[in-house]
Amino acid sequence: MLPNWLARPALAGLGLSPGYSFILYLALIFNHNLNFLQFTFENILILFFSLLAVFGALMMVTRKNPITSALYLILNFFCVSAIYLLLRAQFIAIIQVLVYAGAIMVLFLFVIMLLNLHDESKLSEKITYKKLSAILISLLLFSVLAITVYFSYMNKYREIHSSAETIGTIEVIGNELYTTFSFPFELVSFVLLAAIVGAIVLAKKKFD
Amino acid sequence: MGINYFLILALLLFSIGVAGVLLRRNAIIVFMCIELMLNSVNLVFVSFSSYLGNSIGQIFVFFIMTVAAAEAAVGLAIIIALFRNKETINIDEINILKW
Amino acid sequence: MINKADFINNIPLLIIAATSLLILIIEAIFPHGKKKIGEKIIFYLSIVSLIVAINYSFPQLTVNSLFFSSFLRLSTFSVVVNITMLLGILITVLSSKEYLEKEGINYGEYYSLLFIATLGMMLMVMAYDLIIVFVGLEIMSISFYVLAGFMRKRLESNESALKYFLLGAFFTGFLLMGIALIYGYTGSTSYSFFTNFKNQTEPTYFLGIVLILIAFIFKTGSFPLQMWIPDVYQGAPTVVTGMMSSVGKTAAFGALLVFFTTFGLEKFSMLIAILAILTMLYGNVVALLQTNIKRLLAYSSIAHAGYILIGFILVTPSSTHAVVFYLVSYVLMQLGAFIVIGIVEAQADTMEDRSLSNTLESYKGLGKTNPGLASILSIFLFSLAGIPPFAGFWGKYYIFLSVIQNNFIWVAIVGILLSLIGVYYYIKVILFMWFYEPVTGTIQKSKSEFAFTAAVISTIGLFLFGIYPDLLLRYIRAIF
Repeated sequence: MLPNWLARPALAGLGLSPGYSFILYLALIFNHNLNFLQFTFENILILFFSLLAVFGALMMVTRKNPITSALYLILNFFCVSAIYLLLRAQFIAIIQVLVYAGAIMVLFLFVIMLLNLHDESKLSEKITYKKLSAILISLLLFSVLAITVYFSYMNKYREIHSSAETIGTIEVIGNELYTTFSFPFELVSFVLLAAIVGAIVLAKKKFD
Repeated sequence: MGINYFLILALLLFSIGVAGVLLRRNAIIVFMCIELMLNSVNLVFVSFSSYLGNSIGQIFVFFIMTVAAAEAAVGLAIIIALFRNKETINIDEINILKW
Repeated sequence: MINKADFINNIPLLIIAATSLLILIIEAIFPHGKKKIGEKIIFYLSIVSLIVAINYSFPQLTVNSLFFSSFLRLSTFSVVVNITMLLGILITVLSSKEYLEKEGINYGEYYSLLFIATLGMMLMVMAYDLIIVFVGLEIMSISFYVLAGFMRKRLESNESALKYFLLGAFFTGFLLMGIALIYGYTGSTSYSFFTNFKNQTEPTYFLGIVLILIAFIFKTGSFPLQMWIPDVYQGAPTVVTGMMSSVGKTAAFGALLVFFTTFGLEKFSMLIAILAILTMLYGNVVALLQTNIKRLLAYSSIAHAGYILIGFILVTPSSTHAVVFYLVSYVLMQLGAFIVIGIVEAQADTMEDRSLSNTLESYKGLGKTNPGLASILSIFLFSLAGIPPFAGFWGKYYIFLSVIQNNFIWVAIVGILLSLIGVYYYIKVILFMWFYEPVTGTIQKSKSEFAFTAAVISTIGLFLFGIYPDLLLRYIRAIF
């Protein structure tokens, strides 16, 4: 998907990106407040789930079998849902499981099994030039995004806001959705309508 | 634990998703990577929402989830329609039109 | 909260939304035996409701306020762009009937999705909140994915839909990440809020704007992210291609203009200037090599995105007027050219012939076999090339004038030189039509009356705005 004209300069110019990532890593470790190392039970849970989420994402990208990929993505979704819960976003955490893990991923698995796909050739077999540049590009993207965000929020927002627990409840979100945000709430029904009509038009077997 | 931890986790997931889109050739897996990207955006929204004490972020997540579900339906329908006509979903083999 | 004034002032939006639902109901009511009647009703209903919506849009030209708990903003700009898009959709509906019938896909769903897409496009331009920008963009995009793949039996159409879908969803991710970062910094998604943050240099805020710009550069098909345009435009049904390349781009540029004025992106002017020049260069140069007319027009639409992007270098009243004028003339000429291609395509009988009929070779001698069609296509191509008596010329003239006023004279010089390159491939098609002998046997006279009417309407528009640009400028000058 990456055009060749982009791959060449990207590979040449962005060789520095692992360096950026390393600097970021050092900055993370030597953060002067060292909030990072307070091993309360909550922090341990957050660490555990975030590591598992990253693990799931990495496995999802690298597995050759689409079904395995999908299952790892579900693992990732569950971990992210747990993190939402630790961020006091109860409603979103439940919806995450219901919609992402429950509906979207089931649809994926259903389609994969319907199509009866064969295994893809193993990813590690051919690390071509193009794939290497893809990895470098995403590393560079990560370092640019992460360094910017890290230094902007270094000394801000150290604790979860005290009102976060009430905000995450279904009452508050439902109330907001049906009053202030009623207009976009109505509009997303058109997104769903377009999707329903479109899915039937494209995938229905016979049409007369 | 500061907000930075969650933001960087989300950005890491986002970058993994981008890497997956660029690396993989299977249309379904590419699409799953896109779902991962959307999911990481949700994490950014929720963490800002919790740390700012502002509910708009979580409302926005609600909309993103709706759209992700809609996109999943349409995307998979497109993949099925393509698979009916040509027994492949490998992006490299889909080349009647020059990519 | 929503109150009565919101509905009264947004009748066109409601008409479009209601029509899309009504079409689905009509489609469901008529049983198999009476399908023909249902199709007729849907077709005429679409036309009538579009005309009514355009009619109700004109009184809004003087309204300038916020609606739906300040999620939408009606201004002269948004109303003018909306009328342009509605007109484009009207021409599209007129032109699609025969094409779809020939292809055997004349379902009510097509019209319904077209209306849903219109709703999304109107919302994008009227949006006063990033939530609405996102939802509108998605309503539009999801409908476009389906419309691009509407010829389910044809592999090109499937491929076009898949490519459009994967890339579109990928860049939606960037748009959302940008919105998320902006939300994190400002604590809000409303445009009214962002005016306090004009000219901020906070890195995350800046990064958020850049990510949103990336998504818009993709949607408008400008330089680094233009790779999807030729493939998607070639594979999609021709009538849909015409609509996506004209009306869809208009919506993206309209939303981008509102975004620019809200966030005050003067510091990006050099970047936008370079992008505009590269877009024009890429579109015009690669178009020279094309042998398929749909692909040629796809590259020419990239070049036109470059011309429009010139108006974004510094967003001043004069450049806004120029962009709007350009968009109006662009919708008419781009859509018109694709309508003619659709008519030519619908004349071929077998599926293979229809794919072949898009090659430039098969346009040889069209002037002899079908002079009416060839002369209309010549008018569109002359206008796209920017040759004086047509509206396309004035569009380019005002764009270059505004950029000269903003002291970016070098951009204007490069742009004029590049548009001279563009003249070559438009003239090439015209020469093919008039000065070559037909390759295949005589093509039958077209039976596409509605499509022909639509093309004639566009031609009249181009003539009218070309000879009396003040007719249009009267409305456009009221924007600021």
